[in-house]
Amino acid sequence: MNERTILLVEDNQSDIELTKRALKREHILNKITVVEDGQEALDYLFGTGAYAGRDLTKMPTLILLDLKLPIIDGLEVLRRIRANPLTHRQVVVILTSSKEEQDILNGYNLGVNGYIRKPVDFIQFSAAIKYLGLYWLVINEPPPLVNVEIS
Amino acid sequence: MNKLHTNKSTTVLLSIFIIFLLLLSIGSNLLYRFQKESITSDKHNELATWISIFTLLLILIAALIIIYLWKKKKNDEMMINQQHLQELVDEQTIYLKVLNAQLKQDLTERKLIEDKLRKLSLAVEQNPISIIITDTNGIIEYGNPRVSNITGYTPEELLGKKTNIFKSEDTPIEVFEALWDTILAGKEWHGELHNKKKNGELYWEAASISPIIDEEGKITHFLALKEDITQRKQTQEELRRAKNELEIRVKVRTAELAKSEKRFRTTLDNLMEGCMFIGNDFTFLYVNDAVTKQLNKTKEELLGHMMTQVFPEKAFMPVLKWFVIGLLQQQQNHFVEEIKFENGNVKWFDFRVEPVTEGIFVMSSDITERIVAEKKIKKMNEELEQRVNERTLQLQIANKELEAFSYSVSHDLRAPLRSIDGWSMALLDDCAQQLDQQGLEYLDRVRSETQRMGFLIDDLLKLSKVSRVELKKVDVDLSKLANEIKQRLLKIPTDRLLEFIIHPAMLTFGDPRMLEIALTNLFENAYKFTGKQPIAHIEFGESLINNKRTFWIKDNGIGFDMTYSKNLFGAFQRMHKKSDFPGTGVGLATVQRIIHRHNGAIWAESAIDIGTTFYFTLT
Repeated sequence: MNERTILLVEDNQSDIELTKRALKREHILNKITVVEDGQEALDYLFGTGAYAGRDLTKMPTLILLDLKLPIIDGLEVLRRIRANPLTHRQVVVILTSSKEEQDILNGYNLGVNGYIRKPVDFIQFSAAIKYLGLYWLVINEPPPLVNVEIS
Repeated sequence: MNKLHTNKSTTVLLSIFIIFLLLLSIGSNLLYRFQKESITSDKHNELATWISIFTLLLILIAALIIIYLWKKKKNDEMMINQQHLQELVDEQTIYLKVLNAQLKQDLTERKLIEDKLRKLSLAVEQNPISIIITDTNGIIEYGNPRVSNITGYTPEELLGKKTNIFKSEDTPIEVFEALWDTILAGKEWHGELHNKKKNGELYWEAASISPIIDEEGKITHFLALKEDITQRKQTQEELRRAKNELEIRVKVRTAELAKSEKRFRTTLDNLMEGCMFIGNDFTFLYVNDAVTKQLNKTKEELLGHMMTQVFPEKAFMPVLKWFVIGLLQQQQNHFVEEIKFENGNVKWFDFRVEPVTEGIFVMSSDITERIVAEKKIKKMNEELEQRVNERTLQLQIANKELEAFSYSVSHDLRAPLRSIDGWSMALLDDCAQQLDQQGLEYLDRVRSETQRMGFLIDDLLKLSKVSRVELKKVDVDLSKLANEIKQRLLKIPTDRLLEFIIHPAMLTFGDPRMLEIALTNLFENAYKFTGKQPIAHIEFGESLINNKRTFWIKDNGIGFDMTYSKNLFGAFQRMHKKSDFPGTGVGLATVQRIIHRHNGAIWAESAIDIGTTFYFTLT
């Protein structure tokens, strides 16, 4: 059985650290890969750029995606993930500060699996991360791995 | 006659011949006697026989001749008789023939006369003119069917009556006197009679009455030819009456016209509008005082002069062109023209050209002031419009900026708050042992203020959203919304008793999401400020206030001092201490914004420790 990993797309160092803290605090010990902008995220997922030659059979079980990102914003990253047959079934959950209606609508229009607004209160944030990890990494059955050759 | 003569000569000849024959017979006998001796007896006998036969023969012939002659004579006599008779017959025949021819001619003539009579009689009988023949005393001897037809008297009734049965009182006696005088003098009388029918109805007749005079010059009869002219008379009468009436009306109208002409003239003279009358020869026939003022010309300069001579300037050309069109084409016109006067003045005139029979009537008004004002208004409007457009654009830009700003606030301003709270938490988690009680307390304060800041940002975003978001108005049941809010509030654990009264079926028209936010804020306020009451009363209803449908939410909460009520709806304005009643102070600002966006009004009445009532209207 493949290892269930997390891809965290987040540019704010504090948020990266605090997210990691929250995961640790809630005993979610799955491996976390962090990419700090949209381009890097896509490179990682498609095995391009800095990630050329990456083993593409190893895909993250859960992608935590921030919306305000440098270079390519979160919604565009989501659009490209959904447009690529290699990644279009990936579980993507938007984890962001805003609950602007337009962002939520656009996220779901592009086929996001979940939308979580990070609360200011860290205890609440931690709780959200707990339920999130529990659901997507443990309870939920992820989509089967795609055969790269076939696609 | 010749025949008779011929017959006579024949008779003579025959008589001579008979005598000759007789002489011959006697002579032969005698000769025989003398010679008898000389002749032998035998011979003698024979001779005697022959002589006897001969004599007998002669006698016979003579006898035959005599018979013949007698017969002939008789015949001749008959012939003569017959001839005479024939002559007589012939004579008679000729006479008869002549007589016959005469008779025939008589017959033809008679037939012609009969024909003529028949025709004449028919003409009289069927004549559309009444024909009456009377004797010298006026007794009717004949009346044709037309008479009966008109008067109603049968022909039998008419016979023997005097003509005065037709007489009515309407014809003056003098007329009849003149009539009789004329016809008795052997002359023909013509005239009109107003006569009476059998049924009393009156009718008009044009009558021509003439005497009939015999060979000796004596009057034997009177002949009256009469035509029914009632219709004509009536028409004439009507015409006469109409003519009279018309004449009267013409007189009245003329008087009126004279009066009104005077009145009009006075009115025109004193009118503010210019009035001019331009004849077909292009000359000014009338101008009022206003015209002289408007066009800077005296009456003397205008009246009797051709318009082109009075106004040769180019500035007047467009105006004169319209006048000429009016004059030549009898065309009505209404136009506005700008005229630049020689003295530099520019004026605007409104001209109305009205063609009349002898020219045109022109009304002119000086509308310079109006035009100037209109131009000013137009310019102002244009400026205003431009300003509105600019402002709209500015607002649109501002709105965009606000959107971008709030988006940024939503994302970027919250992130550091989360970090502050997160790291404070990390400090509490990881370094709690190194902090004393006070340090831990301070950290708690940091966290609570951070979270408050989070709420503030959220509320601010809500406030900006209710201003920005487009309203989508539909039918809304406020009672239903209120009940849902009530249910949410009742789920909050509390020790107090809550009494909600929500009036049913309060239907209105608005944006349901916005109204939900407003009602939630108002209900949460009521809930919050009744917090110190053991039994909270919260009532939501509606009533007519100042004739406007007004909704209200009433509570028995802490209330506030009405002196500061003007601050009530300002953002971040609080009426109570934060420690007593927590909140950001944005709620009522949001409510007011929503009500205003529905073109409504919101106000409050409150008394400390008694309670508060919020009122609001929605268009």
